[in-house]
Amino acid sequence: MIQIKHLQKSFDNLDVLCDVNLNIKQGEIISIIGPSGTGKSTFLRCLNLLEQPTGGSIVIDGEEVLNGKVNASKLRQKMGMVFQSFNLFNHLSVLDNVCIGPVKLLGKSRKEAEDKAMELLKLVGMAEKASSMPSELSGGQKQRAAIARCLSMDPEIILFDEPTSALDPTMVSEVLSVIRALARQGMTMAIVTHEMNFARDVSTRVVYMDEGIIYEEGTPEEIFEQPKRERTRVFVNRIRDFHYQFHSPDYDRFHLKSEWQAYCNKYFLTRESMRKAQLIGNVLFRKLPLGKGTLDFYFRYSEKTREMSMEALLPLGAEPVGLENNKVIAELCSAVEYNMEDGRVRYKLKLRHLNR
Amino acid sequence: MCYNPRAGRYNPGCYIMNKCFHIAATLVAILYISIMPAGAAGKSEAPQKAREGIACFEDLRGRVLAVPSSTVQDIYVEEHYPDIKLDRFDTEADMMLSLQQEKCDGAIMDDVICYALVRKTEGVTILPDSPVPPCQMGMVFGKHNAELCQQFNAFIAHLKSTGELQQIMERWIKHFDTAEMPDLKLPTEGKPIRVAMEPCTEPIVFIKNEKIAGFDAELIHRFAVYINRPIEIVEMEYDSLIASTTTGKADMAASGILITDERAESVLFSAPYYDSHSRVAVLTKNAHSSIVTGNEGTPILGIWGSIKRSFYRNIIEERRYMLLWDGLKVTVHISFFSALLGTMLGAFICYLRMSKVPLLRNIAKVYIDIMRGTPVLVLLMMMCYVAFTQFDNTPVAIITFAMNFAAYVSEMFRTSISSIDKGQTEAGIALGFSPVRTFCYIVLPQAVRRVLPVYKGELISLIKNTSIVGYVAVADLTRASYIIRGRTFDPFFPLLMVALMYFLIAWLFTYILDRIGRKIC
Repeated sequence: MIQIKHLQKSFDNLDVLCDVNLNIKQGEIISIIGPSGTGKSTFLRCLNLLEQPTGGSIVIDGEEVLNGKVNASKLRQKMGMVFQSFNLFNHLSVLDNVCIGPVKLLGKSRKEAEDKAMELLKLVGMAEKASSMPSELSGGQKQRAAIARCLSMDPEIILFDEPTSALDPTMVSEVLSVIRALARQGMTMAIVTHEMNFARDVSTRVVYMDEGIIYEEGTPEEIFEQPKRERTRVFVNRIRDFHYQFHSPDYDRFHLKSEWQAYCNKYFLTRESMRKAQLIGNVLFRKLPLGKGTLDFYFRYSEKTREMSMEALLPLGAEPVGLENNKVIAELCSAVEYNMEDGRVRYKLKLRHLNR
Repeated sequence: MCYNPRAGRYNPGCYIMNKCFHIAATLVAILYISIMPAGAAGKSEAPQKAREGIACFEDLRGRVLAVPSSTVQDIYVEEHYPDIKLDRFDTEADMMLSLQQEKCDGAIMDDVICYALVRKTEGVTILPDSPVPPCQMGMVFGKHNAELCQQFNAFIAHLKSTGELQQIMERWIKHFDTAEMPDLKLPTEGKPIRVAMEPCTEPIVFIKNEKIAGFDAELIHRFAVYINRPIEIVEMEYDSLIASTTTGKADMAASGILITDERAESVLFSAPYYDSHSRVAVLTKNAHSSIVTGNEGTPILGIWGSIKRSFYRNIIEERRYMLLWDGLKVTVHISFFSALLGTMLGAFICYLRMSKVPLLRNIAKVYIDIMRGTPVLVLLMMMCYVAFTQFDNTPVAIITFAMNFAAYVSEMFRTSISSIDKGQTEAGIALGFSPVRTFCYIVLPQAVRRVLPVYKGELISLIKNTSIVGYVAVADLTRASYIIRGRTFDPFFPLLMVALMYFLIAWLFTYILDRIGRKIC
C-alpha cells in the first residue's frame, strides 16, 4: 500500500531522517518506537506531507507522491492523522468537528454527515457529548472525538502521533481501547507511541527508530523479547548506563564516588545492589591495569528486567587478567567472559540476580 | 463601578443603575453650566471688584482678551499690548460664550459681527474705542484666477456707483435679524464658480432657514447674476478658506476675509468692499457706567423655561434639526464606508504583514508605523490639500480614515490570527483542506471571534474620529452643531444632540457588528 524508500528530511542543517525504508501493507498495525528526538513524529508527518521530505520516495498505491504533481489535499483525505495535542476545532461542537470534513470536502449532505458522525461518535463512546464544545471535554474525550473526526473521512490508513502522550494516566486507557477496537476492525494504522505494552499487544509489526533510520524492525516478540541490536536492547529493556573512564591508577576516587551515587539515586538502585556492585568494583579497580592508557568502565542496569552487568574495555595492548578466578567475582557474578574488540580486551560480567 | 462583595462579581443590574445615575448627574451638571450665563449667573455671582469699570480699551491692560485666531486683531494686539493676555478662538460665537462665562474680560472682533452678536446676547456692552486700525474686507481668489478677480472688481465698482453696496450693507448690518436674501434668479447654465465660505458668522455668512444668507452671501449671489454663472458653495472652516483657493478646491473665498499684506503674497484680493473697524465687547456688569446705555433687563425664565427656550431656539427654530439630520447622514456615510474600506485594506495589510516575503512584510510594517504615528487630522489635511486637491473632499476623507483604520485593524487581525494555535491549521490540513480553505473554515472563524471585541472599540473610535472632517469642509454632524452654535451662541443643545447622535451611531454600528459576528461564529 505504501512504500517508503530512502526518505530524508533535514531542518536547516539538522538531519532528522537520514534514510528511512519501510513498506506498509493493507491491514497492518505498525508501532513506531524509539527515544525522543529520533524523528518518529517527523517521519509520520512526512507521510502525509505535513512536512515536505527533502529526499527519497513515497509510493502510495503505486503512485509517487513526492514528485510535486500529486494533490496533497486529496492524499491527506485518505490518510487520517491523530495528533498528540488533539487539535479539535475549538469553534465547532464535537458533532460539527466530525461533520465538517464530509460536508465541505466530500460533498455529503448535512443530514447524511450527521448520521454518520453520530455512528462514529457512538463507536468512540462520545455520542452523549455530541453537542459539547471541545473546551468542555477532558483530554481523553477530546482525543476520542479527534479519532472520530479522523474516521469521518473514511481514511485508508490512520497515523497516530503519540496519541496518549498529552493525557493523564487515567485517561490513557480509554483512548487506547478505542485504538484497539479499530485494530480489531482491520484498520491500517501507524502509531508513534511510548506505551510499550500497548505497542506490543496491538501491533502486527514494531519499528524501532534511532539515529534517523529504521534501526530494527520485526514482530512485537522479536523486538521486545529478542532485540538483535544493541540500541534496541537498551531501549526496550530501558537499560541505564553508568560510564567512567580511568586514565591512571591515581584516579579521582571522590569524583567517581559522587558520580556513582548520583547514578544510583537517579535509577533507584537498592542498597543491596549498590553494595554488591561496589564489592566487585573494588576487586576490578585493583586487578585491572589502570595505568597503561584509557580504560572504559560500564555499569548497566535494566529498569525492565532489573538485570545488572558490568563491562570493562581494557587499554590497547593490555592482556586479560583472569578475573574469573577471583573468589569475590565468582561468587557475585553468574558469568564472566571476555572478547577482543579492535585490539582491546572487553570483559563482560553478569551480576547474579539478587534475592528479592 | 459596582462590586458586590457577597456575590464576588459584578452585579450588572447594580452597575447599570450606577451608570444611569452618573449620566444623569453629568447631564444636570452640563445643564446648570449652560444656563448659568443666561439666568443664574447674573444674580448669584458677587460683583468682582477687579473687573469693574472698564471704560476704554486701555482698561483691558493686564486682563484677558478673546481674539479670533491669526486675524489682524490678534497680530496687532499682541504686538502693541504685550501685557494683555490673549485667548485665541476659531469663531466669534465661541469668544462670546467665553466672555459670558467670564473666562475672558473682553472680546475683540469685526464691528459687523460684534453688533450682531451683542444684539443677540444679553448683558454685553461694546467699548467706544478700539486701537486696531480699520481693515478692509475683500474676496479671495487664487493667483491663477485673475480674470475672475477682475470681473468681481468691476462688479463691486458697479454696485458702489449705483449705491446698492451701501443699501446691502445697511440692511445686513443694521437690520440683520429681519434681513432676507433677495429673491434672485440664479443662473444654472455654465461652469459653476466654487465659493468657499464659513457659514458660522452672522451677519456676514450664516445659515438661515437651512439656506445660506448674509452680507457676503448676497454679494456672491448678485455677482453670480452679474456674470451669469451658477455658483457652488463649499462650506469649510475659516482656517481653510484661503488655502482652498490656492489648492483649487474653490475658485474664490468669502466670509469677511480681511486684506493683509501677508495674505496678499499668496492669493489675490478683490477690491475692498467694506471697511471693517474692530470693536471690543465686554460684560455690561464689568463696564463703566458711563458707557452703558439703556440696558433693558431680560425676563428670567427659570430652569425649565430656559431649557425649553434653548431647545426651541437650537433645534426647532428655522428647522435646525434638518441641519443635524443632514450632518448625521454625512457622518454615517463617512463612518460606514471608511469602516468597510478600512477593514478590507486592513485585511490586505495584514496579509502583507504576515507574508513570507521580507519585502512585503517591511512595506506593511512601514505603512503601519507611518499611519499610527501621524495624527489623522494632519493626514486628512495632507490628503485634501496636498495630495488630492482636485477631488471632492468626502471620498478623500473616507479614504484617509480607511487608511488610518486599516493600520490599526491590520495589527489586530495579525495578533488574533497568530494567536490561533498552529495545531488548528495542521489539523485542518491533515483532514484534507487546502491551506486557503483551512484558513477560511478553521482559522478565520476563531480569529474573528477573538478580534471582535477590540475591533468594536476601534470602530467606535473611528466613528468619533470622523468629527474632524469639518476641517476639510465636509458638513458632518459636528459641523452642524458649529453652524447652529454660530447662530444661537448656546452650546448646550447642539452639543448634547450631537453627542447623543454619535452615541446612537456607535451603538447601531456595534449592534450590527454583533449580529454579523454571531452569524459568522
